[in-house]
Amino acid sequence: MVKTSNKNNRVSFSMVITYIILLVWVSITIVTVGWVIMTSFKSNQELFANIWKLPEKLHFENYVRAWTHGNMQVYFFNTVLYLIITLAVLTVFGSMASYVLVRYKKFRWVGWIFILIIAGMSIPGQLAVIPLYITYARVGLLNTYVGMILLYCAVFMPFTVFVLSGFFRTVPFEIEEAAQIDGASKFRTFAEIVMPMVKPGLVTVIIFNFLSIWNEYFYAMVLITDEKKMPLSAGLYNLKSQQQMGLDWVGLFAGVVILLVPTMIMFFIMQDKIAKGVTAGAIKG
Amino acid sequence: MKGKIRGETIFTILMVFPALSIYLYFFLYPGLQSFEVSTFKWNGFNPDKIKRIGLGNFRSLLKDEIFLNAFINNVMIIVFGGIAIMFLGLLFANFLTKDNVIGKSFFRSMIFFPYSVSIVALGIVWMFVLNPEFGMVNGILQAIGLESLQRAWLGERGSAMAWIIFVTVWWWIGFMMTLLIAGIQRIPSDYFEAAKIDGANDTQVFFKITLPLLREVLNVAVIYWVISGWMSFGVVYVMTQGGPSNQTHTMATYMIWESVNYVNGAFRMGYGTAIAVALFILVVGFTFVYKLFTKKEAVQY
Repeated sequence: MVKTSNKNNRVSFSMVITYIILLVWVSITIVTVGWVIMTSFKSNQELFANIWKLPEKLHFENYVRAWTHGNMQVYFFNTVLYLIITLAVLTVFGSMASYVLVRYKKFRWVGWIFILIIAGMSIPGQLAVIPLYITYARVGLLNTYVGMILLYCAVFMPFTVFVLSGFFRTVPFEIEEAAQIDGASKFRTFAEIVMPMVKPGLVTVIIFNFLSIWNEYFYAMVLITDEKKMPLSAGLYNLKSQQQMGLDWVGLFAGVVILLVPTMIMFFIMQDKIAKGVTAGAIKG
Repeated sequence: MKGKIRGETIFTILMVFPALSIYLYFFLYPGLQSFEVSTFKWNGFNPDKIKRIGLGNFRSLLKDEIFLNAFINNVMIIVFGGIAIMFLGLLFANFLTKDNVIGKSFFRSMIFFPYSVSIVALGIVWMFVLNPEFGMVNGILQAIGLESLQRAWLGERGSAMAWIIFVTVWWWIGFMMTLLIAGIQRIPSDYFEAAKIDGANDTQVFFKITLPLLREVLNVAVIYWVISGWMSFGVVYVMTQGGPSNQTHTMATYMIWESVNYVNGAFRMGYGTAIAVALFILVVGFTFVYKLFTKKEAVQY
């Protein structure tokens, strides 16, 4: 079968122009990121001296400074902690909810709950943040791991349910019925038979939530002021604010690269999935 | 039969409860609280000190120069950025779905790359690039002899906004392009073949076939872009913190600046929440009006 695509085999003038624009655009990305990586290995004097020269030697100590003195290791550890627990909660509770919201649609109230959760995707984060700050301040959840984790789970739950419910919908009813006739409980049917069948959905949701949480900065900047609890993005911002008063620029460069590298790696391995997940909700059907 | 329904009901409630309660209590409910808090004059700490002033905050907003300025900044990002991103997005998407192009997936991933990375990191990268002393932009200008054009790019409103718009487009183009590529790939190839047989050139194919058939996807793309534009925060906050002198604030950064910002020390919770509510109404209002105006029949293949 023929793949859907633009078909035109002549190389036209407009194509050449477009190719040039493309090359320029992509080089902007490559050159800026490349320059930052290169500069992260320079010393502070080299930075101000000549921006184009390659560093004399690789100043790995910039990274060491960013990691220890600049607290990147604390931020890194925090992010990993937030990630693991939040991903676990989102995946487990999200699957449980998505499953029944799809399977028991026959109850009217189930439909309403589903809409209520999905609607959360269109609520801007800015709306909830100030009351959350006030509440957290009152009950002592500011600057706590528990507080941030609960928040992350709440914020990313709508998207998780949205994606997972799509996958649960594809599980044929007969298989569940067969299991239940054999005497399996509803929960066992869910956990041992249906869940394995939605593995691609779980993978998609985990990858996407991983990126979202790794890059999250907004709530963290507002709800966490204690450096020791900050995740990476908020922490890096904090580092930058301090640097603007201090002078260790190349250390900050190193900090940025530390933040960039894992996402870059993840990105190059998983491009397709990420792109698909990002546009998942956007196009109907 | 009744027992079975009871069993199913209980099962459903138990299964949905954890996710639902977390979502409700830590996201939806605070969101709703905003409407009430926006009528307060309060610093968020002592509940006894709450002054209820009805729509007073909103009246102040309309007279607040910084807020109105921020609104204009948002509009500039949406309009100018929108034109750029639509142009580039369509150009790239159209080009990168042709058969006879080499390196398609390389280009696609390089264009998409900024969107998958932390905006804080990207903002700092561009701050470095635009730094007047050691940044790449001034460095390039110096290298090609245009030293006179060097300046502190983020130090004046005009150039700062221009760069903010550019970085926003650079960040978002991956998402836009991916959306449009998916849209183009859903167009049946018969159309293109028929056009080729009729001898149409690239431009004609694009304007007469591709573009009209992309209308639905374009609508979705526009809505996403505009909403994201109203809520612009990361790029501005990281690159300029709304400066210099509060001139590059967007509504969202101003909201944070006035309410939960320790540097500023304002803690005007009621006022800040009013901005959030205003933003929300703006977003919902826009979506509603836009959908109303584009309510033509679905595109028939």
